[in-house]
Amino acid sequence: MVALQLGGAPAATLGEVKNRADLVIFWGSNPAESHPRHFARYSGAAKGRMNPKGRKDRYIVLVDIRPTPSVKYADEFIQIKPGQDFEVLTVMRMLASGQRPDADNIGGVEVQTLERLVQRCKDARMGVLFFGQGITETRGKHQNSLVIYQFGKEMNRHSKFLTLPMRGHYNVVGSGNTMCWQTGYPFAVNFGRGYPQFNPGEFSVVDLLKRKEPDAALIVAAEPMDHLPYEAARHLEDIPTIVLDPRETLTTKMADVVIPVKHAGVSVEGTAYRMDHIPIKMRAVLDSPWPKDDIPLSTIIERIKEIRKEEAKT
Amino acid sequence: MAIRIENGEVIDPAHGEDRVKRTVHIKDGKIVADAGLDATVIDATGCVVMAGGVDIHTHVAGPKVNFARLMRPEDHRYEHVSREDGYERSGTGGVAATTFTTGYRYCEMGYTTIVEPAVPPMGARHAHEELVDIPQVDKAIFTLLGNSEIIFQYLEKGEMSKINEYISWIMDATKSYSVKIVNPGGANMWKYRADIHDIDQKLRDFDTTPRKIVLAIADTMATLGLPHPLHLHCNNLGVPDSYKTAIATAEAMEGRPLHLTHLQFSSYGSSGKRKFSSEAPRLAQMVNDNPNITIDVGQVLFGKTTTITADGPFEYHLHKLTGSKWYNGDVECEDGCGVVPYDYKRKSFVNCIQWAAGLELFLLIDDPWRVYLTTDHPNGAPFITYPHLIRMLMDKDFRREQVEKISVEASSEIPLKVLEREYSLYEIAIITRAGTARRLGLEHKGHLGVGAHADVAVYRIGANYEEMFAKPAWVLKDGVVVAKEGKVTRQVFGATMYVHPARGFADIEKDLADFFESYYTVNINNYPVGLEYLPRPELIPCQVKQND
Repeated sequence: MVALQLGGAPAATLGEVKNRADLVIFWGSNPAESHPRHFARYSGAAKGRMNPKGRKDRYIVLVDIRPTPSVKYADEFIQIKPGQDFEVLTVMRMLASGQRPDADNIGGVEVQTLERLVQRCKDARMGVLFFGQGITETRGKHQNSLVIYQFGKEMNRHSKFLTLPMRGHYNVVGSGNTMCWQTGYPFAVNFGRGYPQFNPGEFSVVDLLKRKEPDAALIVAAEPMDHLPYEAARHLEDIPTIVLDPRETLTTKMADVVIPVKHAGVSVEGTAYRMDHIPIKMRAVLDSPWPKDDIPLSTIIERIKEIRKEEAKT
Repeated sequence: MAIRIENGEVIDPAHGEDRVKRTVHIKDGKIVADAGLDATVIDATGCVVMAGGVDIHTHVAGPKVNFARLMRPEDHRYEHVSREDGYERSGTGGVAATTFTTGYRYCEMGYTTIVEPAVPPMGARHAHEELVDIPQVDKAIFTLLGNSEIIFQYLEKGEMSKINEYISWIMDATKSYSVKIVNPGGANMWKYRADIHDIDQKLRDFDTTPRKIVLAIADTMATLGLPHPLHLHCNNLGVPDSYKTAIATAEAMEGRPLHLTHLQFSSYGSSGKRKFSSEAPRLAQMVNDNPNITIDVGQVLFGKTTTITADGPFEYHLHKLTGSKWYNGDVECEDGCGVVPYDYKRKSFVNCIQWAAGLELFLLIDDPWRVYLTTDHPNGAPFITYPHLIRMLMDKDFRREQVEKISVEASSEIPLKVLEREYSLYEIAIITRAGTARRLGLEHKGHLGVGAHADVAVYRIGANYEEMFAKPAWVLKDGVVVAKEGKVTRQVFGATMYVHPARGFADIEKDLADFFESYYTVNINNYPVGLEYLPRPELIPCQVKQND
């Protein structure tokens, strides 16, 4: 997200990948396990306008620090040293602009291999670089994604080239979009002064919790006890917590109050945004005795307003 | 609830009223003949009373607008609204403001209806979700069809009746109000990193041309009786000699109704030392000669803004030119999208020519009913600059002061410097509400006749027109006072207007099912946007011509 804010990105919806991409690179991503339908629907076997033969019309490259179950779906696997993504991508930017590094081996990869990859990118009808948590969650944070976006933008001088993050966590894109149209920012928003303020590092949840700033937490459809670093999650055990979730999770086990709610897209209809920002209407398929998320939330807001009024009277 | 607005000077161009002292009666959200004696009285002494503003072209919602917000956190940092300032919902400002801020700001300028003119069909659901969060105004979206591969396939086979049926289906599936075309064929070519430069150039994948695309869609829209005609962003926009493409496109229409949007961006020639010139006088002449054509200007004003368009190749060009941030978002089977921040500078020769070209269009098109005030928000400038633009149109001394501030080299070349015309309040009312409402086919808006929606703006007459139009004394939406002295006093939500054209021209169900299966990544059953996304829907009827 921060990388996108810093420079933008060349992107497209996944149907473009299905219809036109003849070069697909997965970097720091293991779609066979993290996004098992991705190959079939969009990036591998999917048949499209320019790819009538599906898998045979695409060259697939996997870049990772170790072989993963996704390797068997790829035409080429490039193994790099852990923590060296930024260096390798920077050298690819150099090679794309016609310069050569002094070394023959960067991050455990022969420069010749990278040269071949860059040439493939340049020659592609449409090249796509999907990147996953191996890029976004490693040392260097947004700098890794930033160098990918830069590479993608520069590659558009030579060929149609897209750079797309492999986002997960169900409707995280929808929550980012809604935050953005209501506040101008996709995450790390602080309403403390009565209006939205944005400062990742200061108002982002991990940093707030690490500094032990929050004295209460309302957690909706999130699993911080499982997903956040322990030193951040630990603070939640020391403060009052209310959790809205349809399932039992590590977080509900820890919570002071749990309000079970309907599962959006399972027991209540709603809208979820795909990783390429396409909103999909979700239908209810199962019954559930619990309320929708918005009912407890608006009840809490109404009650707070009443309490405020009562306080103002006295 | 009844209200009488007394002692004001009514300006209602739809009924030829120019500063007529009369009472405006309002009851139950409508303009009525007599509101009764127990009505609340608004004393509009020293004010003009107009219908609420109607903006025909403003990018306020949908996927690409949200990318513009997302990509520029720096844009939101210095402006915000909060409950402390009296607003129901907080938000941030900047050129791509948040949804709630957008509604409040329009209302505070006296606007009560806005149109988001460029939503790719797949983004309609997203756009409607944002419209739900835009308060104070009625709203509508136009659907982008100028790069639709489904239409291209039918065009190749000459199956016009199927195009009819598809457009009728897609208008309903997107709950949209009309059709917009952006760079016909160009966004499709951009999927190969190419563009279209001539209206008779063939596309690469499809045996068709921009001319054929535009004519087919315009004819279909006439058959379906859509209330607003084709809304067109021409090929070759934003580059020298773009004016030639605009003229060729207009000629190709052969008298069919056409709205050319942000024509300023298509008004450049290649003469002069810098090979960049304003050809706005030629385009104004073209508009004057062709009564089927209306335009909105898309005025450029100096300052930082964010450009947002479905014209993917143009945005890449701009990114290379400026080195700015660049977001590209091609949409499968449908269209393109680009976002690039831009800074219009007074010291830039090209920017000064652009600035002047817009004003020249305003001043040289004779009939105010056919030229509308827009900045192509936020592409030329954010919409909050409208009052400044109005002052430049109404006050030639003020305009001259502005001309003196621009680059000397540019000011010596522009036709603008000899133009003396000043707009009257009556003409301003036409280009900001009466004309736009009429061209949109909104019978109940843009005027103050009996039966009209009681969307009213009351402006206190002053010598400084910028201040006058920035802070209306009262704004009413559906008969309720929603702003006073340029400040929202009450949060309300307007309707979302949409059309539902007649079906039954041809059977396309199997074609669509096959096409979705082959080329889309969304199931056709999940594709249409239902009315559940429009909490306050307002169906506007199509006017199908009866053939005998």
